Amino acid sequence: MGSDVLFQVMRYDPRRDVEPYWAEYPVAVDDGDTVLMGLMRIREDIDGSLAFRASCRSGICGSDGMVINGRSRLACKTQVAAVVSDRGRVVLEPLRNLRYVKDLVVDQTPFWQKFRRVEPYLMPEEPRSAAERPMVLPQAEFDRLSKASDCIFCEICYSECPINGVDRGFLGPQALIKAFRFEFDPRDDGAAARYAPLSNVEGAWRCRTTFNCTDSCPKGIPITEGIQRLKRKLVGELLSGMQPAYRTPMPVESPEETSS
Amino acid sequence: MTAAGGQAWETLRHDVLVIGAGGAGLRAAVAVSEVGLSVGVVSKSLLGKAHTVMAEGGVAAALGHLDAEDSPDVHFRDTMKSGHFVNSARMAELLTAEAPERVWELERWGAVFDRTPAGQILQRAFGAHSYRRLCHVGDHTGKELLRTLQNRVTQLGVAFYPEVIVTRLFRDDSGMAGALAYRRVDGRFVLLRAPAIVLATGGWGRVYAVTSNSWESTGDGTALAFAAGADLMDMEMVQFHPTGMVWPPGVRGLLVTEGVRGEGGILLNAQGRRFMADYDPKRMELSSRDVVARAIYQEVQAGRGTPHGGARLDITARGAAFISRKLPSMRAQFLALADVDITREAMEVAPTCHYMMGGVRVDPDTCATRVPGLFAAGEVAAGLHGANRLGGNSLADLLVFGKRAGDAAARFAAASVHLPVVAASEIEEEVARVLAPLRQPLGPSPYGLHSALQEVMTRCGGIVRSGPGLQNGLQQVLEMQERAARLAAPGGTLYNPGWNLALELDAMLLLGEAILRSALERTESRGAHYRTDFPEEDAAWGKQNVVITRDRGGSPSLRTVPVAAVTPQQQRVLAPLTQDVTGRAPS
Repeated sequence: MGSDVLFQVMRYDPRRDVEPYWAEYPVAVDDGDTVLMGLMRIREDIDGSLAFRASCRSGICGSDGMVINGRSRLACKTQVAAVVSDRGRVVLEPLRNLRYVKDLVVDQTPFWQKFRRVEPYLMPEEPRSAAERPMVLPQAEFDRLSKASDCIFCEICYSECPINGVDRGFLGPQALIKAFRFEFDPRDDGAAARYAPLSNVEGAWRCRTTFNCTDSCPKGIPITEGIQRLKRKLVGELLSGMQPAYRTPMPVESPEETSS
Repeated sequence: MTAAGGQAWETLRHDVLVIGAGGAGLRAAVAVSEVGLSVGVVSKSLLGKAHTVMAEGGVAAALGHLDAEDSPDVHFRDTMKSGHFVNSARMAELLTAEAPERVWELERWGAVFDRTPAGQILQRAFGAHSYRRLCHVGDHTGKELLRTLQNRVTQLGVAFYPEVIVTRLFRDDSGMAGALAYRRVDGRFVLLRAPAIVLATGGWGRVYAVTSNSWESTGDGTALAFAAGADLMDMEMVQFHPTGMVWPPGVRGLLVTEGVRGEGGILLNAQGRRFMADYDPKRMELSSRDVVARAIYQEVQAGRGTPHGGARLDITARGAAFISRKLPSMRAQFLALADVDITREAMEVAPTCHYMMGGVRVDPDTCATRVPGLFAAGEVAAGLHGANRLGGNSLADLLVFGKRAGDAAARFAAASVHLPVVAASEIEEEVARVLAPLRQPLGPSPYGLHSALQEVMTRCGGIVRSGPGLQNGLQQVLEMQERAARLAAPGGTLYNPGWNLALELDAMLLLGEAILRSALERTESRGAHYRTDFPEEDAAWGKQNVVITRDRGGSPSLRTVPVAAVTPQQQRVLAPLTQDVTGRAPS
């Protein structure tokens, strides 16, 4: 093919530009080329300072999420040919719902703070000694967890979630699916510790089941379903008298980076 | 805050600083944190993005769940044989003895490996492993391993500094003093003070044009260690994985997991012949990586390659259900990136630069370099894999030696009695060096120079080498090093990838030189190192490693050192190999 496709890229360096602006680059594109390949060519041939995150180029590391022709997607898994038809060009913007840093880069700090808030690690029923062999885990249990564990922290669900757009305190789909992954692990006993951050107006209950996260997830994780199962589990814990009602809002954390 | 040449730097202090947040770095951080010391982890990228996530096939550990005959001893023999006996027997012994516990520990921390019908960890066959040995999670084992460690460091509250680039290490009289770095998101400098530093910065596959590596794999840590006075070893040993994608061009080099062959995939040339029968009829597709990679290369050279210059890898015989279950990422990768359904069609594959066996020379037990207080673990370190790495040994490596490096660094830091000091003048000098590419009005583009380096390394220092080619490549790389002094990176310090690449190129040019010089020195063929002018193994070279030391002027100086002696106990374990015609008997 080798034809030129117009890439329209949002550029912004807060130290040099008054406000974000559109830059247009004609890019030679071959059959099978991804949006990421086009960005690499712009950076190599036209402007070496163009900022975007990318690492593995194969949809495994989840670094190159961006808004491509109006939808959040991974640049390395999006074929130019698949998106160019709707607007006749490739339009690139940074992910939504996070502070803008430069060009196609956003500040991911709140996203990671929320991940940490759900205590995303296995809390075994009882401390296991180093000498103990691992427990037996049936394949069916494994399959359910494995899918949730497939998350690549790409932030696409967070960018597409309408609740994250209007409520900066909402934990968001990514943190909630991580909580699901451990809450439904038969080896885990962390429900009491996770109840407070999850059963909260900024936690699982804030989800309005728009399915944007599920629809946009590049790994095909059924995030919405996971969040609803979390809600059901929280209701069970409430009704069984294990936990208090969820009225108290969580304190809002500062968006500044913490060191841990 | 301290003023430095109009700049300012922030100072942070930890007992141990870990550079790199892949498997080895995070495992080291867990080890330090578990003994109650303060540890800081810096990473070029965000948490969980490191190249470890791309490891597909599995982690080699002789659990013997499927083949009860397997044992750490057999794993040790396989590792030594595959390394062509220039690897460290002590490192291989530690790896194979400790890998099972490191795997079980991951499950205690929440990992979910694939299961046997009885619910135990499932293990798969892999090239040149005597038994089914690789514990795996589908074909995304590295991702699950890194996630588990990521969750563990989160639980332990380890300090993590994302998108921070270290440019220099500082020493003082009794150990390390710290590292200077800058933050990508604001361009600010940070002085990280610590008496002990663990390097876990991975490999440098990006010196080659076709590589399976992430964009981070530029060898920064190796160059940092060398500049601080550490030795490099086995730099000529570069693993080319036999099966990388070849089409379309944007994904050239991306890995096609050895798991495809482990699960029954066969290699065919353009004429439909299963050509491995001509190269290694006994092990066929599951021969060692160097043998399979050269076989594909030679088939293509002989005119029997596919249209895009590769071989066909066919697993369709196993059926769609099996393939979708065991190789889901591969199926998705080929569908999304190449529009090929691997349950119905063969894949097109060719060798791709995959792994560096060489790197920083370390003590086998502690991962200590010869610089007091500086440790190295994982791909950045040399010794374990010798002339060829076994698949699955890399994930085992970063768990076993990540922990060992963390333990040793923690002991070193706990024993250190003074607060290390870095002179302001040293920092100011380094800040000026780092900012130079931004202040060059005109000069070569780092992107252009990088492409030129990749082209030369691929042509002169690739899968098949020769003396004249290596000489020619070395000359060109030395010229590029002069050009690199004038690199220009327009733009500011805020998230500027061109500036970043200009600094990475310093490392890549040094490591390119080191590969070519070491390959020239080793006048034989062994494992991954193949020379057309010396096509046979030479028994004398089988007792030597090539080591590079930094001389007083800062230039690389080569020497050979004897391969570490094998103990009588190791000798007994290796004895069965003396009956095997395909493996050279150890001396």
